[in-house]
Amino acid sequence: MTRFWLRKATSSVAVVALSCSAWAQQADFNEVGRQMAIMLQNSHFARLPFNEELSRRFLEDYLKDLDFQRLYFTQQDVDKFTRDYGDNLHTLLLQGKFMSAASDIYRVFEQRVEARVAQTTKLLNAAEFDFTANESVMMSRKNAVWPKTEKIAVDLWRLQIKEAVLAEVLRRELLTKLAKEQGKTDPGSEDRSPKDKVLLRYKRFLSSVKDVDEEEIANYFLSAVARAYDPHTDYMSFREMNRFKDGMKNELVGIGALLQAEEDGATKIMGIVIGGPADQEGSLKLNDRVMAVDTLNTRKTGDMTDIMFMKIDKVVDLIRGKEGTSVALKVEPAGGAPGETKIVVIQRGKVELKDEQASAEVIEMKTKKGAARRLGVITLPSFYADFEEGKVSCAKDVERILKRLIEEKIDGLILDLRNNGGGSLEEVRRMTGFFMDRGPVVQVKNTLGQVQVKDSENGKPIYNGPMVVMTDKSSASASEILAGALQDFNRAVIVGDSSTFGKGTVQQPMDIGRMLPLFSVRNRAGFLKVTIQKFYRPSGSSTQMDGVKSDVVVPSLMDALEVGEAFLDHPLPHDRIRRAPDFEPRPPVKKNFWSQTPSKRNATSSAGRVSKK
Amino acid sequence: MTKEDKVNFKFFKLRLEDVEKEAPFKSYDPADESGSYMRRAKDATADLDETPKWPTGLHPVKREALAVLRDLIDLSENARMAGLIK
Repeated sequence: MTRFWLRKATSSVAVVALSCSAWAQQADFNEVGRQMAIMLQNSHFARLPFNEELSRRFLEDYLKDLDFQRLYFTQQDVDKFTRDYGDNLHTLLLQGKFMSAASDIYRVFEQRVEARVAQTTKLLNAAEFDFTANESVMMSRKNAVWPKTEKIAVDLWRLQIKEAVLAEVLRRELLTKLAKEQGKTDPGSEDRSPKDKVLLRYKRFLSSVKDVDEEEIANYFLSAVARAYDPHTDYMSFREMNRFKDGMKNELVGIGALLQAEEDGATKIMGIVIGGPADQEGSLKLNDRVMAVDTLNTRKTGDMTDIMFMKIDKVVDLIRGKEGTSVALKVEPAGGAPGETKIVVIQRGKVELKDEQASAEVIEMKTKKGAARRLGVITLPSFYADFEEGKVSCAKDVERILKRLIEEKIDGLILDLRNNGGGSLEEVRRMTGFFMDRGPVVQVKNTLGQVQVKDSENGKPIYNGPMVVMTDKSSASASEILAGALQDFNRAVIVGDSSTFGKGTVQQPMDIGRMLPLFSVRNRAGFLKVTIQKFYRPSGSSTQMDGVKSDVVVPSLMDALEVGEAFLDHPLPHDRIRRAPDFEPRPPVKKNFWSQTPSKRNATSSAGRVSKK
Repeated sequence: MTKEDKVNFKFFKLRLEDVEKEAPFKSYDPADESGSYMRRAKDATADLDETPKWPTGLHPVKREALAVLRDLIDLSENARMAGLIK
């Protein structure tokens, strides 16, 4: 069955789980790139010409991904890359030869990072900085020009390091002041010096830059190629795909611990899932520092992998594994004697991400006349679903909760979609039907311009009473379909930030391994998540770029930040199509009622009540 | 505002596992942030944060949403009484 994803990109959470396993052989990434280039041309909604112009965009985006602040590469480097690869990356991809270009650029990046970190060591070992000098640093260099020469880059770097030390000094001073005022222990009293802290930060970064293999370089480059089409088309490595699937079904196999990379190279236990495998075993404690991992728990010295300065996602992969197997961790106990270590063995098991499941509240609220209203609130953090086994469904969960709320005799319902980045198209279609009569929920248009109307499933709604939907700038994709449909039908009042995120596209995951030539190694080839459709509200408007505008806007800091589709690179444009044929909205509650201030609204609604008596 | 909230609001929570067990809604205090599924390491730096919490732990968007819903219920009831909706 084809599965469609409606979710904006999210940062990965390092809750430990899932697969480790050795991978002796892996796919030829040159061939993976070639197939991905063909798939993009055949499947992407925008049908961009695969030419020199797109090649230049691939290069620009790859350099941006590697050096977002434009501090490592120089203009000379960029000019050389442009000469060598600017007009021919698309050809190299189609010829199955892109890896040499991707690696060449990456190795230059690695050299530049090495040089900057060496300069950092020199700067921090030299005399104290003079903070009285009149100098300035750009806090965001994402739109700055590349440093013209290495000499200019070196001077820019000096200022960056100086600013980093100053920021750390000021942070310490603030913490000391606050601790003194509040009579608490100064958290920075036993910390390293600001200079040491800055140096360790960059050493850790250098270590992560050097600790990459061919698969990771291919991942960086192919992701840049995919995202050159639109911000939600992406290449997903085998590892990323597993994490994405886990996130979609709100369930992991692992030890149930939250890890954090420390500046000194260790990995710290920052959280333990209550009732999870680590909690049940009992030996692993908060603030313990993991130094090494024996992923198969063989207890042989050679099998204990040193994880100092290892990237957190790699540490997570070592700790993850199959359900029922064990992992051994070499741990420095929190508060233990210097050099003290212990071995903790934990059997991996299923970990439910319960904070990510649907949940409910009943809030009893008194009216001005003293009567009590019972208001139901359903919070849905994402449109989660288990695409493989079909056991997990947010629509089923919401249905059960909704029926229970109706049993509780609620007078009205709030659906909280704040921070809900989307998820399964099928789930949102089913869920919208819980709240309205049978009718169009969303329209999807493919690259040929063919429009398909997707109706709700239920003949009659489960809940037909007063309803409000809460949204914010992070409510994206599937959230925008639900909020948009309910708004179009005048079924719910939308309350929140000025608008939602503005993602109006549908992605489909495609296994690149299945497209590789017969008899070639397919292991870890990865997936292409490609935008295949745009979606439109029943009224015909796309949520792309514009999002769903709130009926009642609550002033928010989020509205001042660069959050939303419009701030991403290469977004598809906003447009409209015709209204869905069966679109028949309810009459609005009262024209312009929700755009009034709360006090005016109260006056109007009170007046309404008085006049009817 | 917190004092008024104590008179005007009562909060009850239901998690998915409670629905499965057919357990009753549990009374809770939304200002209490400890009801997570994960034990977290104490963050001494975060402990010094003096940013005031929202009264009763109610974010302004949620407070406004509750007020809007209350108005909407009133409007719907009035319209029903006037025979405008069934």
